[in-house]
Amino acid sequence: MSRPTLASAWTRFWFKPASTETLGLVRIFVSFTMVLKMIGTWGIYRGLKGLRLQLPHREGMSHGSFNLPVPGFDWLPPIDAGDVRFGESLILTLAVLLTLGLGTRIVSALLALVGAYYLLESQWNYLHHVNVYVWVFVLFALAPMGDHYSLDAVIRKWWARRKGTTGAPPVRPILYQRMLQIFVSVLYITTTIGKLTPEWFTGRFMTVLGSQGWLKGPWKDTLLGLMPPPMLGWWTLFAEGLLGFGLWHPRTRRFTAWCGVSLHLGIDAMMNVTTFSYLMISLYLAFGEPKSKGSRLTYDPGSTAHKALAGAVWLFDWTRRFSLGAGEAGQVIEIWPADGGPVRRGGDALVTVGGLLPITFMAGFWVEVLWFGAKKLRTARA
Amino acid sequence: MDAQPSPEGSSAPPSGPDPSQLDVAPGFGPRRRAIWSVVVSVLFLGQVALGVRSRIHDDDRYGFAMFHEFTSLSLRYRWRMDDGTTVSFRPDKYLKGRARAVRGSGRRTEVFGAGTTRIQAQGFVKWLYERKRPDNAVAAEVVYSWERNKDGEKHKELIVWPLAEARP
Repeated sequence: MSRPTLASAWTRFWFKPASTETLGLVRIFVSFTMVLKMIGTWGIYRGLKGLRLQLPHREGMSHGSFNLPVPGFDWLPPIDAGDVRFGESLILTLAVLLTLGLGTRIVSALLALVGAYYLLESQWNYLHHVNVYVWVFVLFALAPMGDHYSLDAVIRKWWARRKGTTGAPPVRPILYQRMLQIFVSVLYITTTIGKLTPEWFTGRFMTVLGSQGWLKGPWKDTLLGLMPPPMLGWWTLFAEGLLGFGLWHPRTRRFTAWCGVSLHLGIDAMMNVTTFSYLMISLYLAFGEPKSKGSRLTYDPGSTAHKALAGAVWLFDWTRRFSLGAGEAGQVIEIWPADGGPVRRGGDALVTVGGLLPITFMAGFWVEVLWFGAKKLRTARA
Repeated sequence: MDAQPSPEGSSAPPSGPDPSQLDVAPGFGPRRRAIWSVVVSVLFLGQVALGVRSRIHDDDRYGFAMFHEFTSLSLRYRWRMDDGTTVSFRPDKYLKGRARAVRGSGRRTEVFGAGTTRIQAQGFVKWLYERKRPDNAVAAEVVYSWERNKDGEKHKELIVWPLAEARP
């Protein structure tokens, strides 16, 4: 076997074959956050008032005569309030199409173009999350985001059946997933470097944000009581720094994701960042195994409890980590991990499920850590 | 917990060649790989360059270094007239929404970096000069006063459009 060279490592890193199933999931979650943004449904900081729906939201911004175009781009036709309303309706329509997965490359390119135009021509350039959306849609336009979980896939299969072929998407390189991963990492690394200032280490910046009215909502005082400004500053630096690297390694991935979700839910609970937090959390999916449904969950088909659990997994496994299968009568719940690791049975399997389903992840992760930690301790003592 | 093989029939039948046996995805020959290598490198460098730009210009927008400092600032606008005198004015009525970041009323705190307001004010005086210039004005000016993180070091800059050498 020849020694790997830098060139071969580069080739394997970008071009080794991989499933594009996870890309389909990333597409659905990311574009759905854009749908939520355009219908004005966001914000833990709003409390229950956040659960509202407007079609389209008409968030826009009040536009005056001067709209802060980016210097060098003031030749672009200026945007007025009517253009903003039209633009929001267009973005909403495109975001719905992208969520459903119809014409994903073209729709993503259009979303990137419209977003970039608003970003360069208007005061939207102050909106950090619009910047992130534009980057992500550029990456989506370059990638086969519609290979799976999409209307494109359904149409392709229907067309292929008529022609007597399978309609399976071609084998793709991992390139597209890697581009998203690199983007997320660079984003967190640069934002961490930017925040390495005394203002963040002392927490003074959080105090200023509070005094300027950036921190708001019914949960603000409770959260600031739990975590005073200096601690918030350190926590932000720690979580963002970790997110720059920790998502890459399987051993640190879930802890890093837990920190990221906590960080962004905390931001969402105190600041009007629209769907930015949900967008960033959705992007963590790009670090999942390329092939979805990799872990096999088997259960006793005669057991009502088992069937209920399988039903719950089917319903709430939004990140498609499990494939379900009826096992043998009288067996306990079993999980056969995607990586060929040890099979988990009974309580171990239940705890593992809790740590992987999105709705139980935040608590389930720590239950899993404690459960298996205690087990290891018992084994070591024995 | 013992490591065990997957139960029979637990995985979906493979579609196409088994990807795990290949080093490179089919159809990605040297030329295509080279093109994509350039694309990913450009994207990566572009993202890093925006980060560097954001540091150089002290402008958090586009660079993902959101909220790295706070700036206490004020902007005072004036027309430079053809007889050399200046006439102060407040152009706030042209500004709504986030564009009010360059308004000329009072001292306030911004969190996007001192350079953001400077860049936006440069664009605004250019716009003022081109769209709202009184007949006998030769330039639009803004005095930008700012202090970073209330560190006691006060700065004052004069932003002018058009630049002196380009004035009629």
